[in-house]
Amino acid sequence: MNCSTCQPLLSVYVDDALRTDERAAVEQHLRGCVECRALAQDLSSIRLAAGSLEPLIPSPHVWHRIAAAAETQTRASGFQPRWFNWRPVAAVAMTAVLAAGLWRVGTLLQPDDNTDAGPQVAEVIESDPEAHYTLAIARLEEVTSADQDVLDQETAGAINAGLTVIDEAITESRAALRSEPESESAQESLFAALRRKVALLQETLGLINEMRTGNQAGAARILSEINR
Amino acid sequence: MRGAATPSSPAADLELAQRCGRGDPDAFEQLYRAHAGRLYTLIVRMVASAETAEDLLQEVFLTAYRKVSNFRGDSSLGTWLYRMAVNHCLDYLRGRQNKMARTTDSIDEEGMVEPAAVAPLVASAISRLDLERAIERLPDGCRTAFVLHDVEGFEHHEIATMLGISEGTSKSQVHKARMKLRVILKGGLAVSPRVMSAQAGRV
Repeated sequence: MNCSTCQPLLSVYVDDALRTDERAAVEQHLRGCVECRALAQDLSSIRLAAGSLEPLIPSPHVWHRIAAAAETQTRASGFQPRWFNWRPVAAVAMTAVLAAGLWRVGTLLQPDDNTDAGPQVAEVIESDPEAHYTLAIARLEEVTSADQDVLDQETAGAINAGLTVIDEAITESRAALRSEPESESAQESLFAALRRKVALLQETLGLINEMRTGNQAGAARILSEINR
Repeated sequence: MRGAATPSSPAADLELAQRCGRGDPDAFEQLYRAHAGRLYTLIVRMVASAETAEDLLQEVFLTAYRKVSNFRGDSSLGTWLYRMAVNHCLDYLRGRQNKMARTTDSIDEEGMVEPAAVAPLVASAISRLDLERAIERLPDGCRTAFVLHDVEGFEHHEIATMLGISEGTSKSQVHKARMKLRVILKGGLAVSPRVMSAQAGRV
């Protein structure tokens, strides 16, 4: 065995998963080769260090986004549980999304019964995500703009500046898609920008909620996430 | 299978799933609190971006919320969510592949310099932050196998099934990742390809 036949086996060697005969051959080579011995030591160290990496923690605002989006989903499916009463403003917004969502689904599916709308709605959302995002954005914008007076001028300005940047990205992505309708990267950029807009509007909504209920700490936390 | 180990009883999982399916907000939050950390940790390292990981974590939990009524307890809720997270990551990486391919490959091959004869790497002396950053800089293909094997603790045959590749490919991808990490950790690559390509591709 030489270095070029030994080295590709070294990861499996340090994992202690080589066949007995291969292992013996590798060990015989390692006894006489400083370079391969150093490589084996490094690979083993990397494996050990990787295995002891610490868990990472998602930012607290992720849960707020998920909770608000889950509520949208719940309403859009026509299912109305006792859901997130602690977000009155969001509830209003999501009711609006529900109304618009059912209208759109109605025009797409022309349903003749109302007994099993849930799965159909979900399928429509999955098959036409852009429509889903656009709809959610429109309704969120309606509610956030109606309630923006709760926010101070500086905060509202910062949020609007963020929205302008995202809108520019949306416009650019749409233009790119028009010239290259099959472009996956343009499609992906458009969805990414739409997702960012939904997220920012959801955070704005959360902020408005916290300001209304006088939760300064909650508002400050969301604000720092928005400014991030 | 270290990556999927979650301490919960089948009965407790099934009850939590049923409560989520009925739209119980406390149950859904409980599901999130119990599993978000582990899933987020996996996703961040798989996709090499905290921002993308947050979006994907949201997608995973919303998909779970939509489908939780179908959960029958064949596996633990943790495993069920974990598989969903892996699949979301793979879908995302496949979508990103085309866009990233050219940048990653050129830096992948040309930017690598054999490390000079410096001191050997010692596991306890490798800073976690350096290692996290080095993992971010790996090409998607070998990073995925490396994260699942060395960080998450899966066996090659499990990774082969998850990624739809052969066991041999999983082994060679993990080896490739470790070789690249060695170069990066020993200072053989001066510029981060991920940062460069992220800047180049920013909308």
